[in-house]
Amino acid sequence: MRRVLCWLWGAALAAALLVPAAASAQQARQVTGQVTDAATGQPIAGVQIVVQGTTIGTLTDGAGNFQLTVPAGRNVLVFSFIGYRTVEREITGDGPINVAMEVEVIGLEGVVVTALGIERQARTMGVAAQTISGNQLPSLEPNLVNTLSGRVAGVNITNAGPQGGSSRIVIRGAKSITGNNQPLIVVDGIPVDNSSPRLQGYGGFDYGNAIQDISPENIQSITVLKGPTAAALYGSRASNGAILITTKSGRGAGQGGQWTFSQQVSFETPLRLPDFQNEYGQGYNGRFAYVDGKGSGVFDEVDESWGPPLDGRLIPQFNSPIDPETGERIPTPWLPNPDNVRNFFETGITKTTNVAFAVATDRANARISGSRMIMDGMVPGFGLRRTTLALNGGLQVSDRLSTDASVQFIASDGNNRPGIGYGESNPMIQFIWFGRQVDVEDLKRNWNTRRGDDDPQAGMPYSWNYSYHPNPYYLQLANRNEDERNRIIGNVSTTYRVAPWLSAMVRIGTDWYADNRRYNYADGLWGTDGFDPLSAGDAATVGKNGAFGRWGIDFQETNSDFLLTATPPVELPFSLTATLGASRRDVVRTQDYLWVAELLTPGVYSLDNAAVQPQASAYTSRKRINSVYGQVDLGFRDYFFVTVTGRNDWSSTLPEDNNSYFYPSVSTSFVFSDAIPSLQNSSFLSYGKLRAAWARVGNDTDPYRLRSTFSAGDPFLGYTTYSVPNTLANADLKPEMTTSKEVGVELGFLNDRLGLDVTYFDEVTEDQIMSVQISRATGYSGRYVNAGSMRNRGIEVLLRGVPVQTDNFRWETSLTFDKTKNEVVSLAEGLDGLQLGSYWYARVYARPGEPYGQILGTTFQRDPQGRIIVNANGVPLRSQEMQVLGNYNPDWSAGWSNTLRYKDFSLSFLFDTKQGNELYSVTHQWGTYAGVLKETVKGRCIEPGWDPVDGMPECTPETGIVVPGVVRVISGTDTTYVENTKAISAQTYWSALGNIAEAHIVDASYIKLRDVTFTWNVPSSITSRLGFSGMQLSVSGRNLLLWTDAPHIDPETAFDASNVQGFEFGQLPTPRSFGFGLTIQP
Amino acid sequence: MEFKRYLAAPVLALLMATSACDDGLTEINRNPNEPEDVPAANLLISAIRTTIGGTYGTHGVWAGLYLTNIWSQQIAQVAYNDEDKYIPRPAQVDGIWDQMYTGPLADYKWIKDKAEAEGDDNLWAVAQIMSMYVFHYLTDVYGAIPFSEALGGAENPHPKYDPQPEVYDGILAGLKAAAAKIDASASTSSWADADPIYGGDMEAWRKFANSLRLRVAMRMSAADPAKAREEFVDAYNAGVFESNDDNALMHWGSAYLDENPRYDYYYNQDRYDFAMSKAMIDKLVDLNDPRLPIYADPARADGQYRGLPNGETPSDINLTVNHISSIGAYFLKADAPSDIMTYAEVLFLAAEAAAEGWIAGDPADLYRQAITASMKRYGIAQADIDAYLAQPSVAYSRDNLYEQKWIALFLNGPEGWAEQRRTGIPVLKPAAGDKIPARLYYPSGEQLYNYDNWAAAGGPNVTLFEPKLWWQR
Repeated sequence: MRRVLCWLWGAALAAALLVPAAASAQQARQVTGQVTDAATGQPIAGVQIVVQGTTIGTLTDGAGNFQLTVPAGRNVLVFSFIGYRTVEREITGDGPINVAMEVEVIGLEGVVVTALGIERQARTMGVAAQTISGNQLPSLEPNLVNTLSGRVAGVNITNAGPQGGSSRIVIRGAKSITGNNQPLIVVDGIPVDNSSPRLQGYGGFDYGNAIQDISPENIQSITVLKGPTAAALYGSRASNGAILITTKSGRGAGQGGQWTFSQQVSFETPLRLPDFQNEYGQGYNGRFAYVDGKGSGVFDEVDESWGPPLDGRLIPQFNSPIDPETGERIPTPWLPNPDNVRNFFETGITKTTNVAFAVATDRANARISGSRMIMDGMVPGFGLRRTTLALNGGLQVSDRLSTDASVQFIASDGNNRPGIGYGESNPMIQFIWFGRQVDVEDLKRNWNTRRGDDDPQAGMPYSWNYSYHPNPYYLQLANRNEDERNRIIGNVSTTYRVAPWLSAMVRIGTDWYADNRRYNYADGLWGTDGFDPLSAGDAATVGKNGAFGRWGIDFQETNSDFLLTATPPVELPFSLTATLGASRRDVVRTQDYLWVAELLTPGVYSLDNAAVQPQASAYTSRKRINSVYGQVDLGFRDYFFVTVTGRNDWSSTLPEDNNSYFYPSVSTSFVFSDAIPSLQNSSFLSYGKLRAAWARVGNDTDPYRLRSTFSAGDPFLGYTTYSVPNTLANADLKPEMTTSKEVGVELGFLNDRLGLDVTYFDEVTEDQIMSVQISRATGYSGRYVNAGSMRNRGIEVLLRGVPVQTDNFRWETSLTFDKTKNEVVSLAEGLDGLQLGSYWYARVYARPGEPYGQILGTTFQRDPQGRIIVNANGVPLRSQEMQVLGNYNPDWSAGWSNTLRYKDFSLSFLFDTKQGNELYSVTHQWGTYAGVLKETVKGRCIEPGWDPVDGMPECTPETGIVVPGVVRVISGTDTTYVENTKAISAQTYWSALGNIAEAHIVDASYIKLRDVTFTWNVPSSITSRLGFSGMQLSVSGRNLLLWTDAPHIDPETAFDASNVQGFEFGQLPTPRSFGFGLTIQP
Repeated sequence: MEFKRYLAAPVLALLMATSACDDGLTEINRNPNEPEDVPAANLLISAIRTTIGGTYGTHGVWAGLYLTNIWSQQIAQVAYNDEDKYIPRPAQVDGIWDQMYTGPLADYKWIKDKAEAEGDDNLWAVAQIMSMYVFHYLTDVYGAIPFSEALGGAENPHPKYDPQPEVYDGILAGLKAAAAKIDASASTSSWADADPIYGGDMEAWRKFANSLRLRVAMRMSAADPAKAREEFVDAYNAGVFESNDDNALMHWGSAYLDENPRYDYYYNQDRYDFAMSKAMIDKLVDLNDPRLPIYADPARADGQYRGLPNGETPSDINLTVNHISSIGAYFLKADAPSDIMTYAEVLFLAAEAAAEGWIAGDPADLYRQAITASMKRYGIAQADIDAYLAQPSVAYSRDNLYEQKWIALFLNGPEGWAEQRRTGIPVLKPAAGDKIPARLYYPSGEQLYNYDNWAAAGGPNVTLFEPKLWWQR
């Protein structure tokens, strides 16, 4: 097989060199014409015109004019443009062909960008694809991935929360048990990186997913190819679907060129913060008095709020003045600070400026643009900057030769990103373990001051606690973490039309970035957790004078394609297009790490200032895939289409005997409304299409899994240390395979006022390459195997319509719905479950026969009747074993978007929802344990044996908490259960619940008002007086309203972009944005 | 021709750059970052660090301090005291097993294979002794464990559990085989510096192997007295520790990352989650023990020696952390050595064997020598030792022997806990409920990935208290 394919590949290349000679000119004629908007009569620039059954085509210029050479035997032209209905026109006579195009109401027909940048008519497609035009994207969302939320059926997006953080996108459910489940992202035909390089663990920073570098302003359209079928030509990585991004070009801009300026300003505030209690302050058992914040006072070391009532009583506090005579603090009033957490957050401001210039002649077009985003985050000191320069050009060198290029240079940098997860650098963790009386304004004023000589903590940075918590402002502002990513995404392609029916293309594209991350830890944070990139995300200890870490990433992916496309002259009513290609993909990722745990002099973060031996490591990984592929499209009478594809990959990551794998697909489309004569002129059913597809996609794995190697540990006593690796390599891996089936129907009713698109899919991924855990008694914790299978079945619905249309008013609405049923069919033999992640008292698992992403956790002990068992004192007991408490995948999700236009005004809004998923809320777990959340107010009492406290009652069934449950009574062999009557304090109650995960599982269902945009297209009567040709004003909002049963948090939260989801870890608040935009065309 | 000008060059470039018949693919997949083979010394030093770090302290604070030291009530948890209340957190339960099997045990096996291939019997013996030490630690925590079928990698993914008597037989035989292989005249220079216990001194290793056999044999003295005696006497006669100079100690360094993990935990990480237990402080105070100021620091608040009752936090007894004695500064130094086995322990074992009539000698005399050896380590003057020994409360008896051994085993958590379980001395007040833990249940991974063998070993019925280990009275 390998030999044969090798040969084929060579033959394909040879053909490119030989075929031109065979081409012979035929009788051809010249056709001209103009394209206009049917409603306004204005010319439309950039309309694509193709001779039906060929690849011969052109575009209209700025005045809507075109000129085209049509070969003999062809006489139908197809006019298409995104946002307009496609028009077919027969060439009759010699006169100009003038076409008026109608705005497309519901998007059933039109042009779709498919694999390898090939544009196809939607009607010919046998698979589900959905296109969003750039101007439909919400303007206030800086992360490209999030812009698709609620807009595309079957796409599940989880937003990580912090500004600039990563988002996870999964199409049609997770397919891989341990591998990547996110789709391939393609920009202008070239795959680009969308990884979220971040180290797993309890802390760290979220740098976002790489694709958010792309400025939404430069996007012409986004097409989502949902299944592996649609993307068979992209190979392995597209088995999770593909998102094809087409950037704006100069096509159709006109010879005079067109400038566009736009400016946007938005303001961000927290959408939701936890509901804190404001009745009791810091302390324990109702008592508190500050001496040194480290245990010398009365519970002044604790970071919980079980202290005295906040009733103005006089208590020595961290900011009480010190009596110079006694050296002791003078008690000050003990008062609530209800807005202390809200006050920590500032109003974020995001400013985006764009300038673009586009120009086109009949032979060339170009667009240059620059954009700059400046975001000052809601967390103090946190800011992001992004500068994008983009150049897009096309040149028709001659009738036969054309070339296109696009390049984007992106510089993005971040300053003082807040930490995420369960680490000290996450401000929300600081507020979960908190004294509710603490005045953050005082901490803010004094963030950079040191405790005076009269203070027990002389010289230390000013804080409210010295046992666990530095001042959150000091952590945020004195610890400076900085990052920069410089990135170039570009490609050049050249197409040569060898003959009217044959063209050859060469394209080389690359995605390169260098990412530099710096972590500087200030002095005086002795013992706090640093983020040591070397120790794989484990907390590292910061030295007394500070510490620093460096993490450099250099990534490059280069794709080279060679593609032959033939449209041989076949007899009507048939049409035929064949594509044959070869490609190579090279990926190199280099990472360098450095960690210096202790400095000599505070504030100088350099190797020369290292007080201890620096630790460093470097890692390079390389991967190559060679491929040949082909596609044949057959059409019959323009209503029946069949597409067959085949691809063979050779991957460097698989053993030599198994590294070649072939995978085919077939799909078909049948436009029955055109085929069945009685339907042809039906105004009720105006469009009807059935489609079906089948595909297999092979997949390889990550590099270096075939042979065991030793990785070095921390040096010890002068030795580099090595340990036998924990995961066994496997020299016999073979490719994994996804098989996918889908059927769909597309219907248009009432002259396409109403459209429906329904898809059913069934996808199975088998022989998955994964590291499975094995008994540690083997000496290893895991080994790589081909095992396990996962299945996703589901339905996607897209309903679009125009319920109201009058001369001045138009209401467009669109509803997406999807429901995916996922099942882990099997794992490796003898494996009952695969743990994906584990934090505190909960685990996320893949278990055979159950859906992926089960959340297991500790539960209450219960009697046979299901009642909670408490101990003799009335305290709930925890069961030993973990039980299924939920699943992180929603049962279904939906989106509802609307656009209302009245004359020059338009209003659009989008609601979206996810229903039926669960979340393990660590905010709830530790926020209740620490007594800071609202629900901990009830039952504040003093238990017998504790010192009495003024203003707090003794615990009785009235003042305390009597857990509704039973006490187990064992006498001899009899076990009975007696109703509990013992009252406990809230402190005892919530502390007992701290290790019972069941008490902290929340329903993560939500509905969000995601976007609202109000736009005024300023009429030309006004703009002309201002000297502009066009002007647009807009007011918009994003993440405006949230409806959910989940307490305290926005349940739309991603742990990171990995498969470990379903955990909420002291979530940073989701930004709620309000903004204003102005666009001017001079 | 136009074609040639514009297209031929890129096509040819692509042709040259790519070829499906690319034999370089395998080469690309060779890991450039990590070696496939390394010197044994670099594994040995790492394995010993993890063995002892994992037993005592973060590489192993968790296992050493959280569980064994606490359950033997030598120290107590000041905060977040789940373990002290006998509700060990899952990660801690899993940690000991997972860390030992995948870490040092796998490493020692690899070292032995390499030593065998290279004909280095001494290196083989060192790795063998250390792996027997680890297996003994594991079986005394978990009971039946995979031993004969352990460490088989993919060849034996489901190793069976050997009953504890068989594990003991295997350990004793393994130690004997190691001692027999030692050739003290052969050079150890290729790895001697990577031996932070004896620096490649094979005579010392031989004594350690024999001394360890004493420990193992005595542990089974109630369960299988005949075998215990036979092994004990054989090992005793083969040569055991003769002075504190023979002590098996882990020598940490004072430089960054070389430190005793306990130091790292206390000073680098600033965690003061542990303090002296009431059981230990009260005992030392009652006996006027001169080791008190070495074992413990006085409470910061009032200069008193005060221990924390296990299972309570300071706030539970209306005190603050500053009212509780910290672990003594001696033990928190960066380069404070960790005890693996000491001469004092060997003398206590000999005293007990003499009392049983297994070996010649006066148990009371050996007992006093044992206490003396323990105190001499801390530089206590002979006069103070004599005064201490003169007290009626310290007079030789079987119970006092066990009690003194418990004191001498301070911060050797695994041994302190095992001996307390074996002898029942000192009588400890359980921190919760009415029993102190007898063992640890198996890690969750065994239930998931080795179910049949786990179930056959009684895994589903194991709790912290039941069933008791084979050798436990």
